[in-house]
Amino acid sequence: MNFIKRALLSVKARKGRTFITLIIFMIICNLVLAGFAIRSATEKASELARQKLGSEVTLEPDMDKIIQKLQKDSTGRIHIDPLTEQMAGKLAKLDHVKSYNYISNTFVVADGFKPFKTSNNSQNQDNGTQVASASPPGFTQPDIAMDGVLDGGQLASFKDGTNKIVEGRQITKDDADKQVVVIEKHLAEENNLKVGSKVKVKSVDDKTSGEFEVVGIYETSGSSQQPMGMDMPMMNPYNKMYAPYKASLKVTPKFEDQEPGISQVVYYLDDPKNTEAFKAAAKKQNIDFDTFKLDAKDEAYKKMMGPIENVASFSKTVVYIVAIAGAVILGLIVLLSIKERRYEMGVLLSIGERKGKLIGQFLAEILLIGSFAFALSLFTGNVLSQMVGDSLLQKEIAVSQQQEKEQPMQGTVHVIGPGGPQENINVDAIDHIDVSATANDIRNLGLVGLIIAIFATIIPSLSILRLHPKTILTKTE
Amino acid sequence: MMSTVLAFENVSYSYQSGGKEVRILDHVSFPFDEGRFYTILGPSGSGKTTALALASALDVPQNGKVLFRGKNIKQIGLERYRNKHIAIVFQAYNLIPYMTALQNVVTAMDIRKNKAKDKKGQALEILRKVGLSEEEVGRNVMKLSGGQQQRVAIARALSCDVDIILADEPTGNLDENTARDIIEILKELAHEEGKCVIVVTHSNEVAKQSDIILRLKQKNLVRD
Repeated sequence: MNFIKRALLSVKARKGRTFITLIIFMIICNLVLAGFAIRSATEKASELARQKLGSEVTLEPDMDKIIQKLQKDSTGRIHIDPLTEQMAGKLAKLDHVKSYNYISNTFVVADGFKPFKTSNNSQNQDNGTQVASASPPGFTQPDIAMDGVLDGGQLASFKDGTNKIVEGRQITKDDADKQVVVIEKHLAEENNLKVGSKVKVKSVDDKTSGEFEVVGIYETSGSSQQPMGMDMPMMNPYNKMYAPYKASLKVTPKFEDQEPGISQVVYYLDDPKNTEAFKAAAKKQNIDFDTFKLDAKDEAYKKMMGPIENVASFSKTVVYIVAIAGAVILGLIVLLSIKERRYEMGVLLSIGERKGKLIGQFLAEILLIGSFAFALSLFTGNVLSQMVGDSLLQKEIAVSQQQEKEQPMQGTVHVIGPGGPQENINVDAIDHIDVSATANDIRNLGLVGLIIAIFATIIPSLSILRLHPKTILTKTE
Repeated sequence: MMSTVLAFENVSYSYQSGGKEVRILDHVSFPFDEGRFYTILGPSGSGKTTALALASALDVPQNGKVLFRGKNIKQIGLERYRNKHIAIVFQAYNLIPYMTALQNVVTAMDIRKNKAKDKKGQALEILRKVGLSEEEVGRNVMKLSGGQQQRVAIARALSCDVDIILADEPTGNLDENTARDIIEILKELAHEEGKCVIVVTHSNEVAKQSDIILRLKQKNLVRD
């Protein structure tokens, strides 16, 4: 172990070189640690974002792709298979699925009761300025939105308190084959409906109708004011009713004699962190993902995580560049050092030292300095990581906000009506990450530092150690 | 009866100069015995240092063999041979510049795996024996005079319990008195400790002190 003793003496004696190497190694360690810490913080932020967005994954028609297909098709007609229970069941059997819910959205026409009307709606009608109907010929303008469900209690609007059962009960799986309905309090009051009352609705094509028993009344905190000045009763949240999905499909009009299908299947996972694993497993199932898509509130996730992911990607690149550049710079320092110390090596070889131990001495010197740099960077690295992380994140947020201003809603089809988005997710990009080096980051830094030290020492050492001691001594003298 | 510790057997050595091969040693054969002090004399460029480099395994002959106790040093292994069996004293001292005199000697003892329990104590004793004071042994070697550095180089050679001590112009940079002291130490090593001491020199004065004088004549070693 005498080469370690020599390394210690050499490091102590060559103060200037030791200091320069220490500074370079410290810069490398700090930047690598910052890279690792930012990556860890990103992973944590990603988990938090998933937690925030919940553990729901929705299987639904991909309207963007369907419209693209329609645009490409010269006939303007394409065949789209409906979303069936059989397809939905395939994914329900996958790991991490705790439960699932079917949702079938449709619009119906109230038969024998009045839809709730806002004062605005009444005024418009009084003034004779009713909004023009968008219904095709042969179709009646709907006034009620009916959501068919498997389990009403699983719906996000009931879970988050937007909707609350005030009387009766919720739609459950046991109601699957029943003609029951849960209606909104305002609609119930308007028509003097109570639990146990019967309501009748007709399909918009007037071909089917159904009578439903009111089993529950809910109250919504959603606004009755409609977006963009529209005045369509079926868009009013008070005119929304929930029924078992099979019952709702019965009053859904057929499209070109094709039986209507489920609009969405929502899978509730055991943990949000398993979302990606579930999506990956689902993609392997025999489901046409050119027509259907799995959505884990990806747009919202992307919006929240976009800037952070860019920072993470940048920090990963920084780790690679710094590690390679660092190894090269340290390698050059070692190479210069070896050139300067040929004489010393010749002397040691002439005394009978082994070449391997000379490499060992250089490696020990670098590792010794590296250990100090490593220890110091544990103190400075965290501060630097937070600073770098914050600065990069703010820049990314600014860029993403600028892009959002320039290209709002680019590439996304927004559908109003059946099959459209169930809930608006209003999220902001994550604008702060808590960057702190974890034990794992420190271990990784140690590993990268060791690899850098080994490369920076061994490669330059090989060149000089091919020389014979006599040559070294003669050339030096 | 003195036994042969080192022998050149038909050793030839040449080097390339201006595209031409220059032969410097040609079929040299000579035995070196333990307990003897040899000097090798010869003009500059005659091959004295080359002979020493071959004897110390710092270089290898193109033809012939260098034998240690009858065994080819290549078979022993050049590193191992240098480590276990020889010590070299260079004209330029060749000390490790960032160490003290004491550290230089202890480092050599470490490299040669000297098993002494108190290496530092032993190194101090040797350094004192070659005439260095307590204060001088703790000084960085670059702050010592030429004579003192040469004493450290000799102490380093003495610290290793080897059979052969090779010295290349060990007194070349020293004043008369110091040179005399150094030669005395080398003589003692041969006569009292039974080492084979081979000194390459220009100096007839040094040669006169040796037991056997060898001259490099016509690319061969010839005894006076």
